[in-house]
Amino acid sequence: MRSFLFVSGLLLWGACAPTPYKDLRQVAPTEHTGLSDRALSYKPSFDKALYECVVEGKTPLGKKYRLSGLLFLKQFEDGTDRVVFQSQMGNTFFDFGWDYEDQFTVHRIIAQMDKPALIATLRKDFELLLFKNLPEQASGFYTDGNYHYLRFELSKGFVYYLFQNQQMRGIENADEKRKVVVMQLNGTASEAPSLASHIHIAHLRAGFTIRLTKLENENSNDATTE
Amino acid sequence: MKALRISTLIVLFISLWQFSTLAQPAGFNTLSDVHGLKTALATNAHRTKDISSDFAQTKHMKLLNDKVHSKGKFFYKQADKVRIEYTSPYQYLLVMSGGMIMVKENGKLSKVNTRNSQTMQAINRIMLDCMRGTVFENKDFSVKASHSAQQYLLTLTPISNSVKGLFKHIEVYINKSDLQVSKLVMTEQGGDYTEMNFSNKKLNTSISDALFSVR
Repeated sequence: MRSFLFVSGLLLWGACAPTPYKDLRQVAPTEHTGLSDRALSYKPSFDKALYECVVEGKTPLGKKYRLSGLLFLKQFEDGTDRVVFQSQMGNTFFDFGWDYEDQFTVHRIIAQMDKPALIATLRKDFELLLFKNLPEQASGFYTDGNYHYLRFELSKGFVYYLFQNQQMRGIENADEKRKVVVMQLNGTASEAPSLASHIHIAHLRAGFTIRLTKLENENSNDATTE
Repeated sequence: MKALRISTLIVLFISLWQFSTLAQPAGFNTLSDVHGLKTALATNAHRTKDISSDFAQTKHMKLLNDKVHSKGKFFYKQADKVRIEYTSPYQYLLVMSGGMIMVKENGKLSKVNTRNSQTMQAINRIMLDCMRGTVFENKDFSVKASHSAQQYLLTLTPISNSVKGLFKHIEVYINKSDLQVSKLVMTEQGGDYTEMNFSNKKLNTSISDALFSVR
């Protein structure tokens, strides 16, 4: 009897547990939102971009950690992309690449970061930001009255791209039970899909954040391409 | 059969000759009086109480065919104090003093005890060795010395595992005129390399200890 009550209690708690996005209502596509339902139309286009990057979090044992460096992103004319994270003094932490078919490759990674779970997490972050390996078409448009939510189904869970006045303001990856990754984007250009100048990524389950601040300087204009 | 053996030997000889040529930068030849250089560096380092200079750093990314530039100020004070202050395009301060590395960015200070981190210890040691003229004594590397008309070149190849993963080799360029380090080139295993060029160097200006204390 006692175990029956315990199991019933658990089921009741599960049923009442708050599910994210339950208050969203579906809206008709394009004509109401002015947004396209094609993933390709949001793919940011850039030559290269340099960000100051700070990673902060806690280990499972509660010890705080912090890692900072520079994140360099480059798009090539043949459709390949590279993302390189390096220390301020130049040592490469990791170098990830995607070919024109969005096939992912780890070109280089230091031993301390060479963990499959970490690589998968970082890969997903960049694929969501760069619109890689997403379905061609969104599965629906939603709104909470403040933002428009464009939903794409993923192999695990889904992703919402949040828009306000047709500018992308955030990216949220979740499953039916809870949010997994929440990204806040600031400083996105409205005229063409571009990378935001400030990106804050919160990994709610893994317990770490990534803060990216775009560096506008000689590196964006003057960096010599040999 | 004999002809085949001779041609194999010729190919091998040419390959080895090309390899030895590539291993040494153009204009540099093997230095015969390494002992003389060691003594000169030690004497000079003893006389150098402090150094302040500007630096320009360029990270060369081979496969990306691109570069990232940064610059800042460099300070050294006998016997174990180094301050590297990046001023553009980002603000980043790194101070090494008494076996500790302190990093300050965006107003946040963090401390690393190099005794607990082999990697940081290795980097700390390289920077100090370059300033103190004790590169030859560093047990993490084997050192090869060469020279041109204007400069000495010390090529450091990692021996210890703690630095093997970090660098393929490090090149230290030293001016013959004043025996000061003018350039550092740190090459990673993948072929990417970071170049640090020092300029506007001032010696023995009695720089303050406060520069090496970060709060």
